[in-house]
Amino acid sequence: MSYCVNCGVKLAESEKSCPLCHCPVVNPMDSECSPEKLEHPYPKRRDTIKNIIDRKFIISVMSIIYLLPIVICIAVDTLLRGRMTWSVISTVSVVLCWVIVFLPYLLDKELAMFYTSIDLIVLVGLFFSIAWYVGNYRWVWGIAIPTAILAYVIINVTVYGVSRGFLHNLYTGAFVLGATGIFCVILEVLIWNYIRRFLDPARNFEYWSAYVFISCIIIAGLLCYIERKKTLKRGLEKRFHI
Amino acid sequence: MIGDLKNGTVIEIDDINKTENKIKKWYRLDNAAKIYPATATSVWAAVFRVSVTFKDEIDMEKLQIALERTAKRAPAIAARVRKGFFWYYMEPLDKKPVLQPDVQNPCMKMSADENEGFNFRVRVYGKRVALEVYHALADGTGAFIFLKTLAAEYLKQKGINIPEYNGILNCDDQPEPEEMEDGHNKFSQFRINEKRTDKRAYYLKGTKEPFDEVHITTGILPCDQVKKRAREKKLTITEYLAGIYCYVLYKIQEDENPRRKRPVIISLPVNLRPYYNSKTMRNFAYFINAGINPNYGDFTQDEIFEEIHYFFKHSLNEKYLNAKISKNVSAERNPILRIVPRSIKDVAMNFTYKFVGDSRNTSTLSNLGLADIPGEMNDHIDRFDFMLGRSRFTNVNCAVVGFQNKLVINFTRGIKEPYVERAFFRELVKRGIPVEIESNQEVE
Ligand SMILES: [Zn+2]
Repeated sequence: MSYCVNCGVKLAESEKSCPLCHCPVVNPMDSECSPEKLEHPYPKRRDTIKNIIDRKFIISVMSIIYLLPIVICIAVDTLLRGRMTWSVISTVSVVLCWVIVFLPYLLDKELAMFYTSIDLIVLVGLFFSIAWYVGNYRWVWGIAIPTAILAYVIINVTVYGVSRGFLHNLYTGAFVLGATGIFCVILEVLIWNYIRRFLDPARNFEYWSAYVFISCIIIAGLLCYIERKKTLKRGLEKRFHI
Repeated sequence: MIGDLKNGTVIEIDDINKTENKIKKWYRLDNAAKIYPATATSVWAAVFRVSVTFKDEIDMEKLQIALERTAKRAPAIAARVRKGFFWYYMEPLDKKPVLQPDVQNPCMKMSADENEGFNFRVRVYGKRVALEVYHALADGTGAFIFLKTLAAEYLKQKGINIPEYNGILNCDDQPEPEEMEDGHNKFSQFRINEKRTDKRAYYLKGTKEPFDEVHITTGILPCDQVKKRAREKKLTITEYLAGIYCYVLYKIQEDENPRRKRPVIISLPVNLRPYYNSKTMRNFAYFINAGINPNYGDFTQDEIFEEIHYFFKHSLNEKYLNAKISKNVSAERNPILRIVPRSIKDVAMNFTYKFVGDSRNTSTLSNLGLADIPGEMNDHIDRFDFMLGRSRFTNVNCAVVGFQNKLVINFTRGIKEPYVERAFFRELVKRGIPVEIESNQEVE
C-alpha cells in the first residue's frame, strides 16, 4: 500500500504510477510483491469497434445514386442517336463529382496530393470529352490544361507549406493571394496567346490581370507586415475585434 | 400472454387495448431516451455501466443461469432499440444473453450482432460483474435495479436465502407493466413552455483520445466521513460533491484566465421515481444544470455550496418538475413533428444536441445514491460501481454510488490529461477525507 507524495491519495496496489499526476510509485517495502501477481482492476483485452462497414455501405448507396444519371443519359443518347455522343460528357462529369466528393471519404486519409492528382486526371478527361464532342482540341491544349495544372500546383504547394509549417496564420492568406495574382497574369497571357493565334492576330494585350495582381500583392504584403509586427496585430485585434 | 413469456415462446398479439396490462411486443422509446439513438454515430453511442464486486470468486455457470432468469424478469433492459420510419422503438428480446469477458476500455458502442442483439451486456472480470447498458433503454437507476436483481438471483443460485425484495425484483414473479412505463409521458399534465435561456458553459479542454480509448479513474472514499463533512455544511452528499466539483472546475477556469469567462455548469441527473412513485425501469430522470457564473464576481467554496443547495431546493419541487416534464413532452405530441421521417428528426436532434444540449454544461455528475439491497446480500458484496461512458461533447464526466462505507467515484475521461480528477481528489484530501485511487491505466 502506497500514497502518492504529490496528491496525498492512497493508491491501489496495482497502480505503478499515480493515475492523477503520473508520479511513479516508489515503495522500498513492497519489493517482495511481484507486479505480475497483482490483480489489476481492468484486463488487457480491449473492445474494438467496427467502423468500416458503415462507411462502405454509405459509399455504395451513394455510388448507385450516382450511377443512375449515367445510365439514363447513355440510354437516352444511344436510343436517339444510335451511339454515345453528348452522354460521354455527362458520364465523365458525374465521375468527376464522385471522385471529388467520395474518394477522400472512402479512403479516410489525408492524401491531398493523391486526391488532387486523380481529380486533375479526370478533369483533363472531361476537357477531352467536350473537345471530342465539339470537334475542337485547340482550347484544351492552349488554355484548359495549363490552367488546371497551374491551379493544381498552387493548391498542392499551399497544402504542403501548411503541413510543413512554412505557412501559418496570415502568411497562408498572403501566399494564397500572391498565387492568385500570378494565376490571373498567366491566365491572361494564355487567353491572349490563344486569341492571337486562332481568332484575331491583331488583338492587343489588355492588362486586366495587372490590376488583380497589384491589389493581391499589396494586400499580401500588408498581411505579411501585420503578421511580423505582433504589437500591430494585437492593436488591430483590439480595435476591430468582433 | 405472460405465461407465454415465461415458457419462452414468442408473444403474438399487439392490440394495444388487449395488452394494456401485459408486456407488449414493442414500445415507443421513452420521451427522455429519444435523444440517444438520434445522436449516436457509427463509432459512438451513449453507454453507461454499473457493476458489483463480490467478496468471493464468481461461479460462471450459476451467474449465466441468474442472467437468463433476470433477463426474463426485466424485459425493459433485455431489449434492443430499432429504427422505425418515424421514430425509433424498443423491442424486448426473447433470447438468452451471454456473459462476456471484461475489457480495458468499457462502455464502447455495442454492435448489432453482439450478445444476441441485446443492447446491454454483462461482463465479468475477477470478482466483478459489470452491466453495460445503452442509455436509450434505461437510466442509471433502471440499470441498477437490473444489476441488483442479477446479484440477488446469483446469490440465490448459490444457495443464499433472500426473503425480502426491497430495491430488487424477484425473478419468480412476472414482469409488471408499470416497470415498462414512460414516466415522462405518464406524469406530464401541464402545458407550460419554459424558454431555455442557459448560455454556453465552460468547456474542459485537453488532447482528445481516439474514439475507442477511455480513461477511468476511480476514487474510493469512506461514506461516513463524507456524510459527516456534508452534514457540517447542512448539505446532502450529492450537493456536497457537486459543490466541491463545481468549485474545482471554477478554479481550473480561473487558472486558465481566459479572455471570456464562461459559466461553470454541472449537469446533475435526478431520479424522478420517488417524486412520482414510479416503478419504471426505463428512463425517468431529470437533469438539473447547477453552477455559477464567474462573471458575477469571485466565489468562495461556501458560496458555491449555498448556490447549489438552493438551486436543488428550487428545482426539486413537484410543480416545477411538472412544468419541466411537460415541456419535454410537448414536442413529441406535436402532430406535425410526429410525421417527419426519423432521419430528418435525427439531423435536427443532432443539431440541437450540439448547440443547446451538451454544450450547456461543463461536466456531468451522476449520483445513484446509496445502494439499497436486502440485508442478506450485504455480507457477499464488496462494493458497487457506477460509471458513465465517454460523452460526445464534454471531456470529463463523473458518476457516484455508495454501498456500506464505500463511496465510489468514477471519472470517465476522453482526453489525455487527468487534471480535473486530480484537482477534485486533491481537494477532498485537503478537506481531510482519505481517498483511495485505482484506474484502468495500462501497466507495462
Ligand atoms: Zn499523484
